[in-house]
Amino acid sequence: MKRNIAAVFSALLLTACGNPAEDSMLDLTALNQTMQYSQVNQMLYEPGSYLGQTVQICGEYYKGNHEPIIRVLDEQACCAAKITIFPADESTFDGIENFSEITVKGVFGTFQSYGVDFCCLNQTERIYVSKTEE
Amino acid sequence: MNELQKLIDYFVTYPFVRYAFAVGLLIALCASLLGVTLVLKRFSFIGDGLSHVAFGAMAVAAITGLTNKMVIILPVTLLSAILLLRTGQNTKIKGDAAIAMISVGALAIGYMLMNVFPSSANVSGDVCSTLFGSTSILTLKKSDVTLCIIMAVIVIAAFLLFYNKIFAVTFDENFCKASGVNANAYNLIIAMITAAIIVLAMNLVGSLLISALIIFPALSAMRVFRSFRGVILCSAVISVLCAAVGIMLSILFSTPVGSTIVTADIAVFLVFCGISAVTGRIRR
Repeated sequence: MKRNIAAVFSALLLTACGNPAEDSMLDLTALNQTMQYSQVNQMLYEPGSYLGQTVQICGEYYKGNHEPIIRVLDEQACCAAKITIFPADESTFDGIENFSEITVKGVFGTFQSYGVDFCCLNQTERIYVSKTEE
Repeated sequence: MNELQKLIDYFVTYPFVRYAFAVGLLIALCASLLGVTLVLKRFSFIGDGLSHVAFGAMAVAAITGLTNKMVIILPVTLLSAILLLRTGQNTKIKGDAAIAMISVGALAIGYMLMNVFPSSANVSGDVCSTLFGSTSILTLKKSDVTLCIIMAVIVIAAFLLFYNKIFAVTFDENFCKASGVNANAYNLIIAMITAAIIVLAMNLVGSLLISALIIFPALSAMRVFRSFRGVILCSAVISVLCAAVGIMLSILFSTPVGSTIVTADIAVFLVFCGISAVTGRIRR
């Protein structure tokens, strides 16, 4: 009995071992909504593992008073993860309406604002936009 | 089938999926070990009561802005477990009333605090995630995984160490006391282990569905097996399998993790009821 439980426990511990996906291009658009949200969250928690990696994300575009962001929601739309997107050139995000569905590709990195580290996509290119201003 | 295998292999390359599996299966294993004892001692609802207390404690931890919420959640839940156990024994407010009182009280206060002092802009999202564990298990940090592994080691070690005493206290507490065993101390250990499991399981299925994780595997195993050891082993296997299937299905089809696991548990329970009915008829 005790041996059986100990064996099951050891097997479960091994499940957590292993390295993150190591492809240079991380295409999150291939994942479903919840998986994409979870992966973005993972990148925000442990940015060090993803620095310099090219990432393709699909989410909601929003530009307020600061830099534009991409918001990735889970399937039930109850949780959201946000990443700041720095455009490859000044016209990259011209004419995109707030809350449009957008797919972008950029290099994952971090930046500091008011002494706090934030995650971002640098040199971001737009791949697809659902709505643009006329 | 090959396509499904490829898809599963692809998903497992993501660290958060591996974290979810490791934590989910460990919690399922711990919950099932204790579930049998709790069901037999008629303490099935203590899990529900404590999970609501943990929700209230989480709300307090959220408004204090602590980065490690466990500092508040774990001691409060442990204390409530001890209080519930003591209240069940020798005070004016007995067992089920005490559980109901503490459980709804903590839930109400927790929800009120989360609304009055919101720690994020998305209060309904936070509440949904805490109560139903919508995506919590898929958004674990490395530190959460480490904490879960440490607590699971403690829970499993305590269970194995006190297996014989827990067995004795579960079946005949009075006989235990008469034969000189400190039954109250072992009840306290059971309550403390339960509190630890509840706190762990909040991440997996959310606080409203924790009872299901504790009760269903034990009840399913009891349909078919008759010995304590048989029921515990079968319950552990059912719980771990249902958690694995539930997590995998929720990843593949974007369903909420907690309710998918509980649905798998219910399905297994119905199957075991069927098996029990058939084998019962054959025996007769």
